[in-house]
Amino acid sequence: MKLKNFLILGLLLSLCWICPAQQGIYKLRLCWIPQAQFAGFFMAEEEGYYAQEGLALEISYPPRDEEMFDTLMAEDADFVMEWFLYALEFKAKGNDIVNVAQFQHQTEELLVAKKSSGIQTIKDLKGRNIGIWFSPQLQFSFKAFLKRNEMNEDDYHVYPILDNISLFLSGGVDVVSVMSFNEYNQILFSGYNPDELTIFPLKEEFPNLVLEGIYCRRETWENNKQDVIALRRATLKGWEAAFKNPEKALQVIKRKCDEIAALHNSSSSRQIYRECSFGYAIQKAMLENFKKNLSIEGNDALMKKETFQEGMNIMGLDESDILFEDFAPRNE
Amino acid sequence: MQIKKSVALKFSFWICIPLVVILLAASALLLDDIYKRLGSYLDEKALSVASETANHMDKIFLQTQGLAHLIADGLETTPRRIDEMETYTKNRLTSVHQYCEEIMGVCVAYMPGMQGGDPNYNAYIHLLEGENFFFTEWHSENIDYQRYQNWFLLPTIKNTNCWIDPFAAFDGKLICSYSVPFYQKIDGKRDLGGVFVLDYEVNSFVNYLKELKLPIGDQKCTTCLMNSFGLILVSTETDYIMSETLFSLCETENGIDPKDFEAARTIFGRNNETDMPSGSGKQTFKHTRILNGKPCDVYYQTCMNNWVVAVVVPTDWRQTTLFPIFIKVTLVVLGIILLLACVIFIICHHINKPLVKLATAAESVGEGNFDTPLPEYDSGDEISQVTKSFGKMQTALKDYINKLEKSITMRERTEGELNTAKSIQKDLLPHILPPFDHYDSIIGAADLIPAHGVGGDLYDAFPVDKDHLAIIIGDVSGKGVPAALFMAVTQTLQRNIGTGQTSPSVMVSQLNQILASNHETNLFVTYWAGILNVHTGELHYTCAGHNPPLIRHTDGTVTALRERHGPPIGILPNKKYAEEKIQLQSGDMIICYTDGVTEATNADMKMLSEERLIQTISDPKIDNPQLMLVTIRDTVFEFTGDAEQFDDVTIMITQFVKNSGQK
Repeated sequence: MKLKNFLILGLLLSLCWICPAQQGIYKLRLCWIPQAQFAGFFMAEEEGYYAQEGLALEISYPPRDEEMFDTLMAEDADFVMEWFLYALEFKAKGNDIVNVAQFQHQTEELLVAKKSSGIQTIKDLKGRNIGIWFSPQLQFSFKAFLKRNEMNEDDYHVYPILDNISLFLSGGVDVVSVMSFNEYNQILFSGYNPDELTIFPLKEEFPNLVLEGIYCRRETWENNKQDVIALRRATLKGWEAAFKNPEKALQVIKRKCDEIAALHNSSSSRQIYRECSFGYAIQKAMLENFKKNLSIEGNDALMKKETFQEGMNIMGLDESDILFEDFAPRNE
Repeated sequence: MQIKKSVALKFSFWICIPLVVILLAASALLLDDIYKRLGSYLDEKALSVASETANHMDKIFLQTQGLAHLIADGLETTPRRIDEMETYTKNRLTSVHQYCEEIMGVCVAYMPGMQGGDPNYNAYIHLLEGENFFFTEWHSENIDYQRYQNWFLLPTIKNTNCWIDPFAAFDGKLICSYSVPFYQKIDGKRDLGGVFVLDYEVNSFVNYLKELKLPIGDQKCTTCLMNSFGLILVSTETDYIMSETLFSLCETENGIDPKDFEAARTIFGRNNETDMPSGSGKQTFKHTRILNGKPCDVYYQTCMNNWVVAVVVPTDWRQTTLFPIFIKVTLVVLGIILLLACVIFIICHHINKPLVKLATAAESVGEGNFDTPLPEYDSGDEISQVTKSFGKMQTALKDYINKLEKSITMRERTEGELNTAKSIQKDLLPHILPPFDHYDSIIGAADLIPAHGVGGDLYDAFPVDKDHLAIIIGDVSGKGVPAALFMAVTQTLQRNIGTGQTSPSVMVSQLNQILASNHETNLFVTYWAGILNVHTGELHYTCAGHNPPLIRHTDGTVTALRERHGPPIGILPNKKYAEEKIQLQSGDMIICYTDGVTEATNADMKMLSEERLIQTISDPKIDNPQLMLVTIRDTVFEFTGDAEQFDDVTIMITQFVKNSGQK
C-alpha cells in the first residue's frame, strides 16, 4: 500500500512537472515596437498591476515580417495583438483562436488627402493614386469602404504603404490610409495644419469596426479564464494610470524604446527600430489620442456583438463560418 | 600741514571719472548699434556656415546624381541580360565607389517585360561593405512590396528622379538612395524600363556636421540635415535622427507654440505655392526641444534636392559671444584708465611737493615769521613763478609791516596829543552852569558835542559885573586842531576883554581887533555876544556873522535875533561893531546855537533847519533850560540818525527868571 501511494504521488508530481505553463506566467506579443499605443500594458507592468493580479507577463515585439498568428499557433506566445479583420480571416480558415480582450471599440482608420491636390469629397478619389497600409485589416477595410460608397476598385491605383508616409508626402500617392493616433500625427508633424487636409474617417462608414485586439489559442482561454480576466483588468488600470500621469507613461515608453534599441544595435531588426521609432511628440500625440478614444469607465474590454457583426459583413462571412461566442467568448 | 584733499588725487579723480563716464555713456549709446551690427555680422556668418554645408552636400548630391544618370543612360543604350547582372552591378559599384567612397550600393530593378522580355519584376542589388561585395537578386511575378519600397515606387509613380529618405541598412547604417527611372525601347516604343538606384551612406555627413563651428567665439553648433518635410535625417543630436521632425520638436510638455510651428512651416515652404523648402534664412524658435527648450535661432539653407541644412544656435549666443568680448574690452579700458589715474597722481604729487612746502612757509609767514625761508624751486614753471612772487610778497609785507608799526606809533602819539588838546579845550569851556552862584534870576544849560576829537565851537557865560552876565557863543571856521587852537585863543581873550565890559559891541570890536591883527591862518569866528542885566532882563547883543539866537517866550512863541552887526571876527581889523537891545520877560529863554544844530544832516542829506529848531523849542511845556537842552539835543541826533556828525553841535540856553537879584 505504501508503495502504491508513493507511486501515485510521484505520478501526480510528474504531471505537474510536464504542465506546459507555470500558473500566472504568460508571453504577450504586441503588434509593433514600443510606442504609446501600448501605454496601458507598459504602465500596468510599471505600476505592478499584473503582479498584483498574480500575473507575470513577458512582453515582446515582433520583427517586421512576422506572422503573429503563426507565432501564436506555434506557442511562441500565449497572447498576441492582431488586427480584427485578419483574425476573422484566420479564424474562418479553421484556426481556433479567440478574442480575449478588446480595449478600443472603434476604428481609428482615416483616409487623408491634401486639399491642395483638389480632393474634397469621396467622389474626388476617383482615378487617384491611393496608398493603403500593407496590412490585411486596412486592405479589407478599404475595399469595404469603396464598396459602401459604390466605388469601383479599378478606378484607383492602390499602392502599399509599408513603413512611412513618405510616398504620400512626396506626392507619390494623393491619398493615404493612416491611423488617427499615428500616421495622421506624422502628417501634422510634417508641417501641415488640419485645415489643409481632407479627412475621411472610416468610423463614419463603419462605426463598430475595431483595429487590434488580444488573441490567444482557445485552450489558453479555457484553462486560464481568471488570469485572462485579470489581464484585462490590470491592463485597463494600466491605461487609466497612463491617462492620469501621461509624462510618466511617456518616460516609461522611452525607456522601453531605448531598451529595444540597445538590443538591436547591429542586427537587421535595427532597420525596423531606426525607421519606425517615434520621438516625444508623436508618442505624446498618440497617447492623447488614446485618452480621447479609449474610455475606461464602463469598459469591460470585451468585443461587442455589433463589432463582430460589422467585421463579418466586411469580410463577407456569416454564422456558418464563425459564431460570435466562439470568436469572442464571454466571461463566465 | 595736513592735506585732506590732495590736488593729485583731485586731478586723478576728475580726469579719470569723466573718462569712465564718457566710456560708459559711449558704450550705452553705441552698444545697441554695435550689438545690432555685430548681430547682423554673426547672422551672416552663421548663414554662411549653413550655406557652405549645403554646398558641401550639394557637391555630393550632384556627384551621386551625375553618376546615377550616367549609368541609367547606359542601361537605356545598352540593355543588360539577367545572367550578366551580377558582374554588371559589381563593376558599376566598383567604379562609382572610386569616385565617391560613401556610395556603397547599386540596384537595378526592372519593370516586368523590360529585361529581355522577362515577365517578372527583376531586381539586382550589389552592396559593398569594407572590401566585401554582397549580391542579391529577386525575381517575382507580382511586385513584392516588402522589397520594392519607396526607392522603386516613388520614381515609377512620379516618373522622375528622387532622393529617398534614409533607411537603416542591414548592419544598422543609415543609407539614403538616389533613384533614377531608366527607359528601354521595346519594339520601337520607349517605355519605363525600371529604376536605377545608388545607395549613399549618410554617416559621413554626421562627421562633417560635428566639426562645424561658428566662426566667432568658437560656438558649437547643433546641425541637422532634414528632408523636405522636416524629418531629421542626419544630426549632431543623434536622438532625433529619423524619429523627430523640426515640427515635432516644437512640441513640449506645454504643447506647441504656434509661432514656433509657423517658423518651421516658413523654413519648409508650407506657405509657398510649391509646398517645398527653398532658399535660405533665419527663424527664431522660443520653445523648441532642439536645444532642450532653450530659445534658438535656426539658420537654414536648402540643398538642390530640397533637403534642408540647419545650423542651430542658442538665441543668446550673441550675448554669450559678445558679452565676454565686451567685458574684456571694458576691463582693458578701465585698466588703462586706472593706470592713467596712477600716473597722473604720481606726476601731480611730484609737482605739488614744492607747493606743499610753500604752503607751510606761508603759514609760518602768516603767523608773523616774516623771515621764514621759502623753498628753493627754480623750474621755470608757474610754481616757480608763484614761489618767486610769494618771496617778493614776503619782502613787501615785511617792509609794510615795519612802516605800519612806525605809523601806528606816530598815530598813537598824535592821538595822545589830540586827547590832551581835547581835554584842555574842554576845560576852557565853563564847567559850572547857572544858575550861577551869583545870580538867582539866571538858569542855564549848555553842551558842546564835537564832531571830531577837538573842534572850533565855543560858548561862555561869565559875570561882567555884579549886575550883568556875558553870554557868548561862537564858531571858528575850519575843523580840527587849528580851529581848536583858535577857539582856545578866542575863549581866553573874550574873558579878558569882557570882564567889566557892559557893551557887547565894544567887547566884540576889541576881540576882533586882536584876532584880525595877530594871525596868518585866515581863520575867523562867527560870534555872538550878549550882555544881560540880570535884574531887569535887558539884553544888549552884538552878532558877528553868527546864527541868530532865538528867544523862546513862556507862551511858546519864538523871537529870532536876526540883526547882524558885522562879519565874523578875525577877518577885518579895526572893524567897529554895533549892538542891539531887547527886553526879556520872566521865563524867556535865550537859545544860542551853532550851525552844527540847524545844519545837522541826515542820511538823506537833509538838514534839520532853523524852522525845525523853532518848531522844537515852541512847546511851552519845555519850561527850563536843561529840558530845552535835552530836547534840542535829542531832536538833532534823532534827525541825523546813523549819519556821521560832520560839525560840532553847540547849544547854550539861558533863562531869565525875574526874582531877587545878585546875592
